[in-house]
Amino acid sequence: MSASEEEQFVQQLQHIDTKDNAFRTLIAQNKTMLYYHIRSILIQHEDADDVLQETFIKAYENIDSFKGNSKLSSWLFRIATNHALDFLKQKSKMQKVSLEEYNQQLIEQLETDSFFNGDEATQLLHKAIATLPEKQQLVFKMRYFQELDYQSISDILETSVGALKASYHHAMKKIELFLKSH
Amino acid sequence: MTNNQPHPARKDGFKTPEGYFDTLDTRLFDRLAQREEQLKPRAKIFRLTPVKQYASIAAAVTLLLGLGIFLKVKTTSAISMEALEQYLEYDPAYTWSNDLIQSFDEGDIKELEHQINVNQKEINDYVQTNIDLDYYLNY
Repeated sequence: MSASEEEQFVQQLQHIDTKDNAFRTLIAQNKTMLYYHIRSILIQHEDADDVLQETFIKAYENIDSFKGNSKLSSWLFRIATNHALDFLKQKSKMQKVSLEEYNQQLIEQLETDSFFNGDEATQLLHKAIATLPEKQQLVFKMRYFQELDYQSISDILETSVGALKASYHHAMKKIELFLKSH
Repeated sequence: MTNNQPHPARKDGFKTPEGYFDTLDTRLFDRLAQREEQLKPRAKIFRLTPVKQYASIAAAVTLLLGLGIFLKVKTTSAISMEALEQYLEYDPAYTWSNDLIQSFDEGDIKELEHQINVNQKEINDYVQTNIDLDYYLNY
């Protein structure tokens, strides 16, 4: 979608007569990528489903505040990322464990998760990712699993491309070390 | 950046229930409709400050009492003894015109004296227990 097409699309989203139809298009274009992005943060399908729906609802209710300073998809990813991270923190608080401990618990549950079909190596990779700091986890998942380019990640996380590249490099090194020792 | 097609074999190993993405729109719009229903404006509730709360309660009590008295007055056909005593003792219009006294004659007064049988002991008991003697002795 070119910049002018996106601008026109945003106008449709912001106009009451065309809002619902345009919103269906927005969902269709972004649901898969957004779901897997949220799922990579929350691990469990039910939680990812809940946050995905909340993300679209927030977008629907706040579309008038979208000023076009970034791509629409980056805006959606930003809402989804913030909401997913908040959700994760709330859950760990409710379980009265640290965020790291809660992440480890989620990874342990993957073995019996009916909506996970990864092999042992994939499970081990998830375990390795869970040992990383929050920002490095995010960058690694967005780059490696979602295959987003650095510029898109930069728009979503509002971090410079250079810092993202450094973050990804550190994450890769740590994961390598973890995999070698397990 | 957008991608409509799910990955055939995902690196992260995640999958979704069958038909999950096909029904997402419907579930989302249902949820939106529910939210809009919940957000519809209802009767406004005004939160009163404590002062206003007390004033409102006092006004309500006054209104109820006033209404109660009004209804009682309107519906009572016979005058109560208490109301009569109140009238005879304190109503200035009666005191000034003395119309009741004017309507009494000697025969009526004699009859009253005969009817009222005063017991001295009862008078003493009443004075000791009910009347502020100090007031009567000093003023």
